[in-house]
Amino acid sequence: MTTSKSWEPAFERLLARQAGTGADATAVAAAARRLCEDFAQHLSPLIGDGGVAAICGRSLQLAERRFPGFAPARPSGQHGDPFTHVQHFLEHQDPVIAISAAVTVLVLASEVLASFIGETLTRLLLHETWPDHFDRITPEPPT
Amino acid sequence: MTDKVPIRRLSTGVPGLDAVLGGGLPEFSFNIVAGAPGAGKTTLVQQIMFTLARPDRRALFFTVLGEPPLKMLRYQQQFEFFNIAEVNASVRFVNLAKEALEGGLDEVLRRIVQEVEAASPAIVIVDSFRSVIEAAKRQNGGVDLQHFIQDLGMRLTEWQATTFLVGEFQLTETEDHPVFTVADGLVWLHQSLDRNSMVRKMQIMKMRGQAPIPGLHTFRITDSGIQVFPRLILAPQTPPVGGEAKTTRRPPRLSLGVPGLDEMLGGGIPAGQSVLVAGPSGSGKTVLATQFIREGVRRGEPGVIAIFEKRPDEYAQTSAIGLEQAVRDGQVGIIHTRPLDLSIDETQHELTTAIERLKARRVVIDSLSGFELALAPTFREDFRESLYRLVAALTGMGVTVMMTAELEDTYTHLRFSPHGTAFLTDAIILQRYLVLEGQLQRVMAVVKVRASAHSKDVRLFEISADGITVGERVGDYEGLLTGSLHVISHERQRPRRRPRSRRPKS
Repeated sequence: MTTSKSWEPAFERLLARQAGTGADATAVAAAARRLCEDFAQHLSPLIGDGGVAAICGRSLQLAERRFPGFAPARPSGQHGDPFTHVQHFLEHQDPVIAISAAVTVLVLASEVLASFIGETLTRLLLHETWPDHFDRITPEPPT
Repeated sequence: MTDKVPIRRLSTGVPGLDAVLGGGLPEFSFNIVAGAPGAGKTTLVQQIMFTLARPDRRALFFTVLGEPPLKMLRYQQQFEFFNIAEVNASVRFVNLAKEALEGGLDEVLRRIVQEVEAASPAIVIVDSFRSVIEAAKRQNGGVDLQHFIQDLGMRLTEWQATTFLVGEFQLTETEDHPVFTVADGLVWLHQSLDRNSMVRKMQIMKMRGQAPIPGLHTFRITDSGIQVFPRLILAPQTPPVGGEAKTTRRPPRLSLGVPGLDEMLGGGIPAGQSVLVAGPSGSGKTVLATQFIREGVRRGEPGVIAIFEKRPDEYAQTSAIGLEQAVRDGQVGIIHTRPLDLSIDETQHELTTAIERLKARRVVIDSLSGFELALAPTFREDFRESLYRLVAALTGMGVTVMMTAELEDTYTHLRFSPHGTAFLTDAIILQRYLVLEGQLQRVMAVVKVRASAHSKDVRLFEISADGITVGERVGDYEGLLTGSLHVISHERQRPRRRPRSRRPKS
């Protein structure tokens, strides 16, 4: 799987800006949900709601290895609203754990996406969603 | 000045396709790209889309329920034409799965209209349109497809967009499916399987406003995308009005680089004609062919060799007369095409490209037997007809073509060529082994030179490091070419001899 450590600090900064300084778990959870929804909204026209659900489901499955509590958040199949489950899980964590878990899910979602469509295109989509936090890679033009 | 509306034709960026379409893709045309799954439909339309899309000519690509967009983006970006920098810039992908599943045709049309009006694209693609229809049928059964297609067609006209609907349609549907009536262009992609060989073919069944090349055209999908090899159509040869008919002009002769053989041919091979060199294995066909090419290089006439049995470096090294230097100097091109699944049109394309690049005057095909084996089985059935088209196309370009053919030794009857190809060529040189006075000897004869006199002698020849050296006429025997030799008695021999200075017939 493509791994980009540079995405983690960017998501941390993004989450901190969304949630505010010294935010409690509820604020972190709400901010995490907004970020997930923003990314999903941007991805949906390109890969469809089914594609978004697949990326989300797989990233939650991978996140369970570090945060077993995510298990109930993962909806069965491609139905249900995973973001509500994520928010609900995060609200009941320590704020530090909530931030770490939220960033983990966002990074994993980006990595899962990159494993399908490549890092260049994923970076482009991250840049289009949050231009202040993600640089785009300028791809080589076709020969 | 004309009152007719000019139709702008867009270059598709798919090599060979513009020619097949009849000069490119008509702007604002409404096209169907149809074929079975895996036929290359999505690759074709995306190659065209990435070629045409620019900031001032944007493209909208609607995905529906066929290939999941994640997978489509994953695999399509492997092609060289897929420009990631254009995604969400000149090219925008929009997934319509939700609309197709939940809202039916009306919802699909509403979303398409919404996106198109927002983006004002010059290119619109719906992939797959078939899945739109199927989803709508599942929704309400009695779907008003005719109404939907007419509405879509009308709106597509309003938008001034060049449009493609991609779908897994069956050929039998063309008669009663309304979309085929509305469409301006209909491109059908086929995959045909014959034994263990798969061949891709394309047919332009319809292209309003222009004349596409009829018939099936082979195409290949590589990392670069699709390349089409237009089926060769020979134009009728008509002499210019008030001009001299071609047949009354005597073409100049080309030396083969073998003095004795040039003499046997009546002064060399007529330029722009074809010659077949037939003989058993090891008789010296390739040596003669390389000598023909080397002589051309010496005279400033570049050459192209199409080989089918050896690799080019192997060929240039092992042919009795090395051509490595001439290849390095760009005076000789060696084409080694992918074996076992070729089409004649693909070979012809590679040959003509090399001829044009090198400005070649001489071409060798070594050998016809290898060529036939390299073809996909489906094309072997039409080998003679295809070879006829190929030879006519090449000689039509003014190049002189030499082909070699392996001829099995037979001692029961006389053959000039395998495949019944002798009539396709203008000249035939036959090589043969003989046992004379206890020694295996090579002999050569000129069987035919079209519209020209030539020697009837059967002459011994030898092969050395310098190539072929033609020796004396084999006398006092008959049945030389059949291998069944008889000494001619003195009484019979004398009256049959002809003077060597006999005037050539015109």
